[in-house]
Amino acid sequence: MEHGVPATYFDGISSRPFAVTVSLDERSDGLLLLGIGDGRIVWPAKELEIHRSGSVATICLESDKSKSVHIEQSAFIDAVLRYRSRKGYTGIYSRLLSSGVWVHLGLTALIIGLILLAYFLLVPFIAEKSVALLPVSYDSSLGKMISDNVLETESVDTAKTRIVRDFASGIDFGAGPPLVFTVLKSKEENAYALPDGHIMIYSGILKIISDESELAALMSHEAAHVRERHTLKLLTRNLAGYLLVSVAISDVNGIMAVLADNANTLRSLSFSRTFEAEADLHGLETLRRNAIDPNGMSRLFHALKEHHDNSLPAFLSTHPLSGERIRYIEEQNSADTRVYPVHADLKSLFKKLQEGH
Amino acid sequence: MDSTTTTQKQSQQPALAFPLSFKGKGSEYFGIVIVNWLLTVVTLGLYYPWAKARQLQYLYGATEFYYSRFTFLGTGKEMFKGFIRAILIFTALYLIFFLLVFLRMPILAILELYLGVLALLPLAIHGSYKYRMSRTAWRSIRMGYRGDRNELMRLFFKGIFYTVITLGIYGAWFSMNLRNYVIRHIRFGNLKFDYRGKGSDYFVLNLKGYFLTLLTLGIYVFWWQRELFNYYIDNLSVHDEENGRKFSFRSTATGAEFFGLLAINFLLLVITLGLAYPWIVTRTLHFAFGHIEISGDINLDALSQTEGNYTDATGEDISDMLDFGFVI
Repeated sequence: MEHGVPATYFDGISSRPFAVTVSLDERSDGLLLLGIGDGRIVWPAKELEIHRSGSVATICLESDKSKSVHIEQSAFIDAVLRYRSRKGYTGIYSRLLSSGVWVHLGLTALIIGLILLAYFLLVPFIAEKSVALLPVSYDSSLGKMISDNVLETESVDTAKTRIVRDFASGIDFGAGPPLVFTVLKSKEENAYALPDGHIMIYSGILKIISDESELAALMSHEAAHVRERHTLKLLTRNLAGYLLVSVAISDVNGIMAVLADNANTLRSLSFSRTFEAEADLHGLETLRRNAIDPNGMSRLFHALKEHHDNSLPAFLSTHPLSGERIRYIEEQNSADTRVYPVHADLKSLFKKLQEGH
Repeated sequence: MDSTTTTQKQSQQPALAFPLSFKGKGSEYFGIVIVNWLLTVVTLGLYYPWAKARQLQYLYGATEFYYSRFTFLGTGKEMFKGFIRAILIFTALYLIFFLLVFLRMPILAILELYLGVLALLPLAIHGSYKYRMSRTAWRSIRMGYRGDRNELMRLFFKGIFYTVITLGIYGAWFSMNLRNYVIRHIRFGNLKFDYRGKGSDYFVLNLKGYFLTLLTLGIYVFWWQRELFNYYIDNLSVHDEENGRKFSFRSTATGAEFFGLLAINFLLLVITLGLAYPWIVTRTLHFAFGHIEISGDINLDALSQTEGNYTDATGEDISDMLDFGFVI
């Protein structure tokens, strides 16, 4: 009673304010309200619901929110909160909330750190593992959906397709589902692989290629994408990244969500760069295994780069080609002093392909 | 019984000013947002409704009207039920969508999704207002929303229909009809809210705003915002019909002030990559409430409780609960 502070009580019947005195009564383990009628009312400390904003608080009972007490004494509110926390009536939320600004800043850094850690370590790991769990038939059905559509809308160069397929049959691309090469009539200088093993080569890119080892390099590069299941890996990484981003950020606010979303897209671009480099490396291995000159790969990239110095050919924009990447390939090749034989069969097939222009 | 009668004397005189202000601080709100963020991330998003309840509790508690604070009485548990309902409804909509895509009926699938979301909007507005108002109290006097769900649905679909066939022109009338309906059904104890928006005024306001914004290369957008804010506030009133008394609202915001608010908000958000969000919220509320003048002759010490008791919340209340936090 001696530590009582003035407060205002509202009875839930009208908005009329009643002046009361409140105090913390440890003996009855509650908030003592004096001045309402003749009696003394005790609100059990355990059942209090305290809405605090700065130095002001509105207190009601969890079980009956129809009545309330307004208190404008910061020190008293602190005392009530401390008492409840000492008694163990408060949850983790209140403890975190009252821990001060430095703890909050630390928490912010911690959350951001956790999200980044999960994003850069956990997401690729989960993606890799989940692709390993998915059967190869999933790649086929996914790829078939796209390749059916491509073959329906684009026109196939049947003569060149036959030659390219003969060419491919002379190369060992490693174990896995069969690869189906198709030449599409188009000026575009591009080639791409679908997860079902369909590899589409635009006739435009064939004009830039000047010998059989370059063609073999292009085909080995695309074949590596299929063998390494890059499409599926990219899909699962993007999906897992997207899920993480939406769980971690969506609650906070719009601009953060947009930023995180764009960061995720950028990250997926860098994923595809990693996959390109991986396909180069596996492509080189394929060439060496077949005793085909691996310098074909660097010659192919140089040719692509020079051919369109100003405007980037489509192959380069989907297969970002940095000087670093070419340099890496050349480095790999410079250590290789083997003399590669001429493959008469491939050479003649390539000649036939060029004559068809 | 003791009563503080200092405030009662003033109410006898006509047209007094009743101060409204926001006393929240960005630094306080930041703590709440961060703790909520942590708990939401750790629980993979399940904490979200509790987080929202905590944030609303703070923001309501920091809003002062006539020297007393508002209280948000809702709980995370209640909002969790609405949250689960919303997730189930959206999951169902998407399941049907993918089923139709799988059955090779893409047009039907898109139609289903659009109509589903459209039909959900009036339900969400109704649910939001009903829930939010029933959990809003000032001096333990609860607010309430007494609109009829079916009537709102009819109003909504009629509005959509006319808006589509007039190529969007009816949209201004539609917005005003909706706002008039919703606000006129808000109760604050024995007081009734009223809004008098006219479609024609709203149409001219937006048309003018649009063209002047184009002409001034976007600069007028802040003055347009002010006009929209003013139109909202200036047409709002609260009535004590029994005693023939009322409150009217007036906005004092200027275009230059709007420019200051929005430009700095934007810069803060971009520079801090979104972390300044709590300050943006408190700044904005401080601005909005600080630019509303309320005057009238209602005796605020004599409001009586009219809305159903909180603890009597029945199944009907819960079934209406689909709180998306709409403001119309």
